[in-house]
Amino acid sequence: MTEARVLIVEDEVIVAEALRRRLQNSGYDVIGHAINGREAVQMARQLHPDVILMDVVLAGPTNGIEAAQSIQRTIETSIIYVTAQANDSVVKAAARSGALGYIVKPFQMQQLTSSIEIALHRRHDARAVSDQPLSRRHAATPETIQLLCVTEREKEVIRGLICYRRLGKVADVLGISVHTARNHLKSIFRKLNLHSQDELLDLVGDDPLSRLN
Amino acid sequence: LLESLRDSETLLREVHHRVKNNLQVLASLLAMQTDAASDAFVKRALSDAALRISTIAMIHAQLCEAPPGASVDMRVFVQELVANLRRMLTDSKTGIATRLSLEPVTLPLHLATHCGLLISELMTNAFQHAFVQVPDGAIDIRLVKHGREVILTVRDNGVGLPREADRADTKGIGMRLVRLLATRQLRGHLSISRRHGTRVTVRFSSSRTRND
Repeated sequence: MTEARVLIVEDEVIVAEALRRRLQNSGYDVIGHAINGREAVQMARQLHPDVILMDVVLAGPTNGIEAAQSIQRTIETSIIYVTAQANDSVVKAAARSGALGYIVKPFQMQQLTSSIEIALHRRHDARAVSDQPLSRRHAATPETIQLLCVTEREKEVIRGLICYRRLGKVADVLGISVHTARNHLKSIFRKLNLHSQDELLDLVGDDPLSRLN
Repeated sequence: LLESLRDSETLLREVHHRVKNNLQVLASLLAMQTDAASDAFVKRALSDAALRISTIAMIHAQLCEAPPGASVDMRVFVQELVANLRRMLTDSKTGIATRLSLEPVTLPLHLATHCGLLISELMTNAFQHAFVQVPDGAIDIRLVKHGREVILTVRDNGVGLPREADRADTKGIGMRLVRLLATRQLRGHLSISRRHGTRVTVRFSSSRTRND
């Protein structure tokens, strides 16, 4: 189990204390408890937690979603909402605020710990992406490319382009006409929302042969 | 408009009533489990849980029928709360006296609720642990107001609270909850004296709103 540093934001101290004990028993490092939105923002800036468990409805002028937005403007952290509210508008507002999870009370501990683990992994991925050159930062992952229904033939065209760079050569190697190769390329652009061969190569990186299969 | 207001008032009363009933059902279920358990340790754990839920049920019954924003007469509230707690706690220990000294204090609903939880934890603690081999056990509960400051004191003439009882890593949760309720939820000051029994004093501001 990852020893993630967790901040709890919850306006009922008894609820917070129960959560703290159970998280610690599950191997997490609970670094603090904030009782309202303002305290949450202060503590998040000071302590830089890996994960923040945020109650949506908080006593006081700042609700959980506002606090989360304010925190995410200044530090990089994963926010998971823990709330009794399950209505549509709250869930949408939470999603818009960039949260990585949403758990409705009452919940099983297992649900919470798996949400925390998922949030940590996603943040790890996001950090790996941000280490790449700027042009690739918004790149789709190979997984996304798979999901976007790129056909086997289109994948061959992409692999060919990585190896040979020139579409004519790719067509030659694949035994198709340049016209057909160009049609495959246009279809790829459309599916991945791209406009040029350079953008495509930027997106898939230099060595996707092992990943893009 | 008046009619819809009446409707929503009726609805609110209905909801409160159901919450009250459900809490009592919960407490009863735990009481049955307590009776059914054969292991003494399990019995004790379940009866503690039942007691805490009963306390919440009592506080709910006493306070939550008041409209939001209402203030609570603490003399009436604490008297009833203590009488109810006594009924639940004195099954085995009938000789313990409780003495109340309550000034006229009114508190907003959320402070009264947390104050109630505090009194309940302290009184339960004293009943269960303070009077081992102590005859003539007595618990004094005092509520005093100085300006905006409210001072709650719960004192017993028992064996004295163990040193480690309110540490964060302690196994028992009673005193840990007391500390959290006093310092974090009520934003007050907690002091514990261990001379001639145990005296726990909580000072907090009666004017603090939930928004602070």
